[in-house]
Amino acid sequence: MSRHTPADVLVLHAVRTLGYGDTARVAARVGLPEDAVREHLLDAQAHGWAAHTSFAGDGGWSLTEAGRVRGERLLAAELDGVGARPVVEEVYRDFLPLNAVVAGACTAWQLAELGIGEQTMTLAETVATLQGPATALAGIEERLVSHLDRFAGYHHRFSSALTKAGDEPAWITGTDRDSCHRVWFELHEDLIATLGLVR
Amino acid sequence: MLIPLREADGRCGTKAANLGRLLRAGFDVPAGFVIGDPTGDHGWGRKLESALPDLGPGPFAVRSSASAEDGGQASFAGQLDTTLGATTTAQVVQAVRRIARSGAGPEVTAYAARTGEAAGDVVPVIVQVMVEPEAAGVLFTRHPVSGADQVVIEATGGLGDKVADGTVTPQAWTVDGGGVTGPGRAEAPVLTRAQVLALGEVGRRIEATFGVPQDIEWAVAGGKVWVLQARPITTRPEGSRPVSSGPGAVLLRGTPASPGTALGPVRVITGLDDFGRFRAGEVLVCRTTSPAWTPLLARATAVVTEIGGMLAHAAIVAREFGIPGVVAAPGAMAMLADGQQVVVDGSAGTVASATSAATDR
Repeated sequence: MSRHTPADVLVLHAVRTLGYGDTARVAARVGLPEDAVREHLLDAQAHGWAAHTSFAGDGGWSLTEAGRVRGERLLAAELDGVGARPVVEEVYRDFLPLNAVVAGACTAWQLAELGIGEQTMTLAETVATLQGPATALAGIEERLVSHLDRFAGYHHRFSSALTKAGDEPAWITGTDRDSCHRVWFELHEDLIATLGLVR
Repeated sequence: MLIPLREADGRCGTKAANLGRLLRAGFDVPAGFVIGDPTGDHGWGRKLESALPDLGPGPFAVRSSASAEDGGQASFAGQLDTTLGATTTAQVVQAVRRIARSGAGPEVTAYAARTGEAAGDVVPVIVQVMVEPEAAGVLFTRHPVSGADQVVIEATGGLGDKVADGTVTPQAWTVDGGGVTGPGRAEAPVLTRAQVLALGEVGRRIEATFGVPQDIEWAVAGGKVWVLQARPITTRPEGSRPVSSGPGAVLLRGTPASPGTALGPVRVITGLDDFGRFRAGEVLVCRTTSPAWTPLLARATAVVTEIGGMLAHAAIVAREFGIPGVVAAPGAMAMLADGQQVVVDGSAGTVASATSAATDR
């Protein structure tokens, strides 16, 4: 049976995977009301687990080192509680070659856009290359969600970004939107955090 | 239908066809065979049972051979499905089924999308003996960022699949004619100079075999260079050589990861609790980055990291923001001091001290 992660853990973990985001974005990420999420974030701030900073006006939440350590401890307890460590480790091994494809395709597309190249990747080729990981992500997510439902959503987000990328290439590596690279990297961060790995 | 790799041709998928061609040209490629159509042909299971012991005791690598038919574009397709370390016949059969079932390669999916027809499911699958490498990695027969006519080798000890991941810094060498540079300040090089030269030579010969610059996965085991995959470099940069940064003395060298040159004051950031010290316009110097670091990268003039490769988070985000990036510059955090004015050349992979002329620019 798949496990529901408590809201306070979800909120702390969303800050970890998003890296940086305002309350509305954290709330959207965990699918909880903004008011409830704000309370959890303020609690985390009071404990010294999260910090609110603003860069040139736009404010957002990020974790402190203490918050990162606490988050990893909670995730490890949850993971071992449901006995899913071997599954997530196996998923991570399957994820790595896909990660090479995604990072490689994003890189090739960026180099093409920068004009560093004679034989460049076209947008259509980049989108086609990312279709494979998009398809594989469905299976990866299914394996994760069968134990921990907090992993739901990556496949849908990645596929949505990829669909939009055909018309608007910013959806491949843009940092101002839920782009292919951003969604993929959040999953990478999620797996690393869940397994307590060091980047 | 089981086809020995040595006989593999276009029907076997681009990847197996390339390996077949390499075998026929005399390169060392781990022994194996291709199952041409695992979903359509049901006789392969029994043939595999008898053929597998002939390859050796294992472990085996099972990979999709699906790859873009033109070979020169979208070359990452062939990496999509891989199972390493299968040991029993049952495991190999299961891996072949899984990879075949994972369906069409991206090019087939794209073709199906264009034509509006269901994708065909023919995914040839390669079964090969896994070599137990002393070192493994990738090599490019052109510099993948600067385009210089050099062989660039990235290596790690053991299996090489972490090189593309960005979580491990590969050791890097450059072979330029008979000259070898690298691996920087690595404490224990994973390759000897002779191995580096042998790899450079293999790269050149493979490039000559196929006629275009190549991106090659390799492993060194038992005194041999094994070729695991070869494909054309997808993005072949212009023929320009990297320019060494004009201003000041070069303080640090790393992997060029995001092109361009920029001048700014250094800010060394050690971790999350340090983010508050970063100011817009500074040169971000850190060990590595993750999503939490994106707001810093968005405001940085340039980025220098101690670990990672061309595909790392910092490299991709730096290119996205159009700021110069140098990754895998060991010792950067200790060597550079807050406020120090530096010139980061992300095309050459150098960090130089700023001279007054550079400051005036």
